[in-house]
Amino acid sequence: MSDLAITVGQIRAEQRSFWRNPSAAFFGFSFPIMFLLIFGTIFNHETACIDGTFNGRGQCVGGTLTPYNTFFVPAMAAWGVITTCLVNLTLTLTVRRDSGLLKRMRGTPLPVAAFVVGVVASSLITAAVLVVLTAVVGHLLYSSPWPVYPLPAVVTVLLGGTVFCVVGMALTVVIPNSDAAPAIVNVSYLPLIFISGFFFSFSNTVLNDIAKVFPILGFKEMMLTAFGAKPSSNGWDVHDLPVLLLWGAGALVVTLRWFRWEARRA
Amino acid sequence: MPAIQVEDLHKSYGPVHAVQGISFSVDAGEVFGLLGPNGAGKTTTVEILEGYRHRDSGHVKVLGEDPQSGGRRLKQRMGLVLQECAVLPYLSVSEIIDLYRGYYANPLPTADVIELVGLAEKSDVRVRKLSGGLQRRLDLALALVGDPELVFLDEPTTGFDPSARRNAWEIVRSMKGLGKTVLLTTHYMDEAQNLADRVCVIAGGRVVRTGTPDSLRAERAATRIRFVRPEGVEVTGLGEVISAAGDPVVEIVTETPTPALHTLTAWALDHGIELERLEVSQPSLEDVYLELTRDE
Repeated sequence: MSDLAITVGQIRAEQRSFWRNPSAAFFGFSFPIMFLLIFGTIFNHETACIDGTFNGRGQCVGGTLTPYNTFFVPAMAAWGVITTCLVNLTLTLTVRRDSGLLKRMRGTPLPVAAFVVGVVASSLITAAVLVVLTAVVGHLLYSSPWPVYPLPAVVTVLLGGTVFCVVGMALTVVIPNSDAAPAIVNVSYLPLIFISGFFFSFSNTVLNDIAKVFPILGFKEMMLTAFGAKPSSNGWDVHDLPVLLLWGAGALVVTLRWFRWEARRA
Repeated sequence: MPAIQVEDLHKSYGPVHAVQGISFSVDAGEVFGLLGPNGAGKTTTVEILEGYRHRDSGHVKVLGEDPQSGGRRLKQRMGLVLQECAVLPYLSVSEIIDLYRGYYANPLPTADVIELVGLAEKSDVRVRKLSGGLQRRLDLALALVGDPELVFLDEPTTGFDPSARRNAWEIVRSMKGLGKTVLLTTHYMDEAQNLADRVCVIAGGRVVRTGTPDSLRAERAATRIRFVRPEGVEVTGLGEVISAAGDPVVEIVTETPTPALHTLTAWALDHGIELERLEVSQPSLEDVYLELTRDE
């Protein structure tokens, strides 16, 4: 078989593995969709103040006032990409490293690139399904608008998803074993979801400055822009691109240098 | 050309000198058993041959190539069974074999491989639903699917029940029948005795003995004759008799079992005694192995 055919086979095997594993599929999907249903319902007729904050009289200061779900649907779509590409991929790889699957695979002629592309492409497919599901649920239940700029939306999901996949691979380097993986992954990214304004924006210089260092905030901003929740002329948010790309590049270096195919010896 | 050549192999992990100058060679078509206690350096040696680890020094050739640089081309010609069985758990037996087939240039047909390891009735079952023994058979199938010239079997029957072990042995014999070279590591001496053309016993990172199982056993040529001490009869005049006080079993160790047995049975007939649990045995490979590795 050609390397392309092998890679396609890997993607198919990864996709089958994902959808047949009820807990992976459930946990991957439940967080963003569950919060979409809860907050989407609670704040359905409320407003969000994008890039600004509400003052004491309920006025949006320094930002753009939009219906809450116009803001919230792309934010949850961004979270969905992060759970699929960062969280699920990290947990999957550490379990496979512990079980010896990665080691066994290295003993076959399967090219490493085909394996990695298989894992990343499968995560992107799953992420895309979750983004579409989020948009459809948001549109049907809360009348949130369809993405205003479809091409930037697709590119943002694929680019951001790829970056979070690589960050996930780099994260496995500091995870000692699969038992520790869920705690480490959740502690490292969940606080950033909250301080990056995935539920509401707020004004706290310290937290805002911390959030700006990480790619999660910028990726959400790019999704808001592509969905049209944030005003822009064409849906491309190049302002937030550098942080995302820098994280991708840094994570790639860490992964290439330190990624482990075998569990640490006890 | 030998399938595997190892000369003066050394490997340390920090202060631990795991492999201290191991040398052996495996001929093409041979089943070669690598034996030794835990920590003897077996796994390190095998993992160097498989290409997982880099040696510190020494010469290693696997199918004529250096496993450190052989890469994909060499992996096309090898099949591995590692100690952990690890494949994607949510794929079925035939799906996973099909997936692995794609990795190799000249794979065997999926149905043939499934048949060979006796998983025909399970081909649509997902891997996670298979028992440990059946997963191990799938492991064997995945090692064979690329039609390799050389197969590494690292403790392939650990945890098997006796009948599953016999089945696995049949598979190894059929690999040999197909002309494949097999490097087998095992803790079970009966397995080595039954399968291996030659064995290499290593202990403390060094080779203690290499040879056919029979030649190793021949090192302890003495035959043992055992029987239960008859009550009320003094056992005398039977040559070198070994027997602990109070132990009801008498053991005679002899280089010449035929006259010894003749003397014993004549003595028993004279006294009108039936020798209970009479047995004549050769030293097993296990006896020799335990002796060779006693200090470890």
